[in-house]
Amino acid sequence: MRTLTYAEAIREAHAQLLAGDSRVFVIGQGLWSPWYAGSSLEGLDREFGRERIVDSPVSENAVTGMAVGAALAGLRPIVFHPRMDFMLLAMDPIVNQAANWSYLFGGESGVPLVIRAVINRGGQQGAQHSQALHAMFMHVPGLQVVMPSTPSDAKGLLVAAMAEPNPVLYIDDRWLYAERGEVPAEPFSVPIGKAAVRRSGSDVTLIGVSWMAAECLRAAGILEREGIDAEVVDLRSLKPWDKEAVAESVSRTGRAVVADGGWRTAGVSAEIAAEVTERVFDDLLAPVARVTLPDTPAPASLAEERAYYPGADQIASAARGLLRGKSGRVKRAAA
Amino acid sequence: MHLAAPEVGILGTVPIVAGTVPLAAGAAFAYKMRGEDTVAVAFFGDGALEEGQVHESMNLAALYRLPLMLICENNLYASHLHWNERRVADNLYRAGEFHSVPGERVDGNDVQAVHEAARAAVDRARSGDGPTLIECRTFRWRGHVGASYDLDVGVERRGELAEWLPRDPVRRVANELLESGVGDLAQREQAIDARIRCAVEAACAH
Repeated sequence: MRTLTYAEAIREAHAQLLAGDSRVFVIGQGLWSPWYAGSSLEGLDREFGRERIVDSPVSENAVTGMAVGAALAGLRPIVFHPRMDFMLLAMDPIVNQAANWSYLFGGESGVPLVIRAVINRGGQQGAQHSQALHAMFMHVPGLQVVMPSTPSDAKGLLVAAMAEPNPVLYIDDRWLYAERGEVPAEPFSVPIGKAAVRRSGSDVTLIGVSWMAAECLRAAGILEREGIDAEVVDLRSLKPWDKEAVAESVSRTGRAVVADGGWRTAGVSAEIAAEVTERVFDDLLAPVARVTLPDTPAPASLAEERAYYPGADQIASAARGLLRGKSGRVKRAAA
Repeated sequence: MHLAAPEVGILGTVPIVAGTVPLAAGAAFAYKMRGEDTVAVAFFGDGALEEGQVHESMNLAALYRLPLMLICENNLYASHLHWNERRVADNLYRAGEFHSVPGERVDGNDVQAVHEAARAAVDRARSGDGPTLIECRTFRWRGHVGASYDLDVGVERRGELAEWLPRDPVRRVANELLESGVGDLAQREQAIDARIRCAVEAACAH
């Protein structure tokens, strides 16, 4: 199969959705400039016209509200936030309006809207240009949240999101844009709410989302060289998330490391750890471990960034900790 | 609080005061993109102009020349505060000037005046000239919440109310209709009242 980068897969999904449905349009900041969206939207304005690819003023709140209204009036908007930090200015249309709408009106009226947000951290850009705020939105009833980690899912989840009758927050990650993988050429859907087992293993389950799912795979490679057999579950969707797949995996391995690129307190990792404990407590051989950002804003210095962002090494270290226990020897589940 | 009737074009009402203004701009964007002559109308109160998204929306609607009417029902109070406790100047109809959105102030209790202003704004919207802001001056008879007169929340408005009651827009338009020779007005009013009563009773029984 032909391969695409993550960014190219996002672009291809946009192009096919725009070509397939005249109701689809994209609005947000930076749509006419690679400065904002990398190659993920490159040339769409030339291909589909600037009436449908609308590069907007810096008005996150009203632009997002307009997308909600356009969805109510029968269009299928994708509203684009090239930095998730700025999306905080649009909390009213996202949370109060879009997420609640179908509940406010007895299910008779929905908001078929895709909100695309980019996590764009690193590069010494500091606290207001680096935030991964997915957990905030995962908290809100009425919002579905997806976070693809592979090129194929980047395409398939955008197509799936556009088919939903209610709002979906699609969060992609600039650190994944250059990742390359096989992507089917035709439009296809990846089901929302279904995790993917990226690697089978029997000693420990590494659960990650987006960038951290990719780091979990690298961690599994490190652990393999040490004789530890890790299973990697890529959540892909945060709301709803695949509780059954995670519980099934952890019930087999007896150990879980949850790796999330957000903060620790009240974050994604807390939610998953709680659910795992409720569902498969009797199968656990060790407490659920968490690898997250520390509970501080992102630093603006390169040296501090290196310490701030966890990756494969920290995930592998957490897994080792679960297997060694107090004796320091690696313990395995009974065969 | 949450009213919708999409069959007659009412997309929804919600209690975040400025929340529907960008939504109406979005609906206008949809009508324009589809080449329809439908005009979107955002109804909001004077308090909504204190939230930023109205101002962002006016700029966007002007920039994209959206078929949009912004109807500000200025009843002088937002919740428990009079306008002069919230603003320095009594000039809401000028709120769009910075965004090239023309504004007009009308007597909101004069049905004919409101109709004429709206007619002009619709014509403007349909001819591709963008949004118009209309400030309709009126007064809130009852409480911010419920059918009380706000005495329960410590706001004394009875003096103002006494001035506004004779300007009742329904009474005024009825008198105008009588003067213009509509004969069976009393009968029609009774029929309308009966329908309203039935609807309210049915809603209360739900």
